[in-house]
Amino acid sequence: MGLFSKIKNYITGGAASVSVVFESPIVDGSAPVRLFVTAIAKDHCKVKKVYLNVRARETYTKTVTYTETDGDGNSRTSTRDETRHEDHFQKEMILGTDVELKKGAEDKWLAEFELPTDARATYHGKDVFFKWEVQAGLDMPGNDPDSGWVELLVSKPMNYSMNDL
Amino acid sequence: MSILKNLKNFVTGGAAKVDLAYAEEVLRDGESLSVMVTVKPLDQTLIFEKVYLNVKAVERSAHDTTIYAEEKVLAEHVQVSAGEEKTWSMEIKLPESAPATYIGKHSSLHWSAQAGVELPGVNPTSDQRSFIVNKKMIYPATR
Repeated sequence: MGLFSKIKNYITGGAASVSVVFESPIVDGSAPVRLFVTAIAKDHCKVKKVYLNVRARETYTKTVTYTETDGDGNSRTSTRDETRHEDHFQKEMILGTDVELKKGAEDKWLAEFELPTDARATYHGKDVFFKWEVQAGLDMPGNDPDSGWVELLVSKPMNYSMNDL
Repeated sequence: MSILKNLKNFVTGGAAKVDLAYAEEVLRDGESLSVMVTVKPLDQTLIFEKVYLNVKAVERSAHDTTIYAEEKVLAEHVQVSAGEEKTWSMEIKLPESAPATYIGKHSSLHWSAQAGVELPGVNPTSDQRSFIVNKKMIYPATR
């Protein structure tokens, strides 16, 4: 790998490709979630840690009002809808430390975690989403190569009562 | 009845009292919504074009978005005498694709229904009544 290629990978996080494969892409929370994190290095590299982030994210829209004042002191108010997020669950797991990846070789790590007993089920609406997602990454100098956020579908009947409305 | 009272009922939908009740307010996977609609004319004998029920699922965030809406007709061309009370029952099976109730912190999906009778002018209607759908949903995976 040339120097420029190394610098590019340092900036873009392209030194390795990282992916996540679930044992089962749909879970109901009754058993631990199991998944494999796979990394294929494009060159020999040293990884400080292999990590897995888990989050449960509510996405919604909020009407926001902005007031702008110009140089003459005149105020103008405008309203627009913005997409907002709130994470209701976050967890980081360390799957490996001080790992050396060889060029072209595939390395795998098994991860296992439990969802909270009161975990909300996945919801995909029109403007509203509630998603469980994981992201695997390699902690390296420069930008970390990562898998991006990958959705885990949590499919289970909720136990809402009229008091919850 | 005076012309003024007739006119008031025409504008306000106050010619009859409409009540909506559920056998169960919380539905599990595959269960139907069992409804009872009771209609009572308040002053005079009335002929209704139809007795209906509007069922809907509304997603709430910055705005309300109707995700599902359906009208069910319980009876047509019905006459109910003054002082009389009539009740209709119906089992409503929601479609397989109907979403489950969702309650987030800033957003939600709520199910509700409202019964009504069709008369000239404003239709007399019941209150909008909520119910819950606790079912397992299978969504396609996204990235």
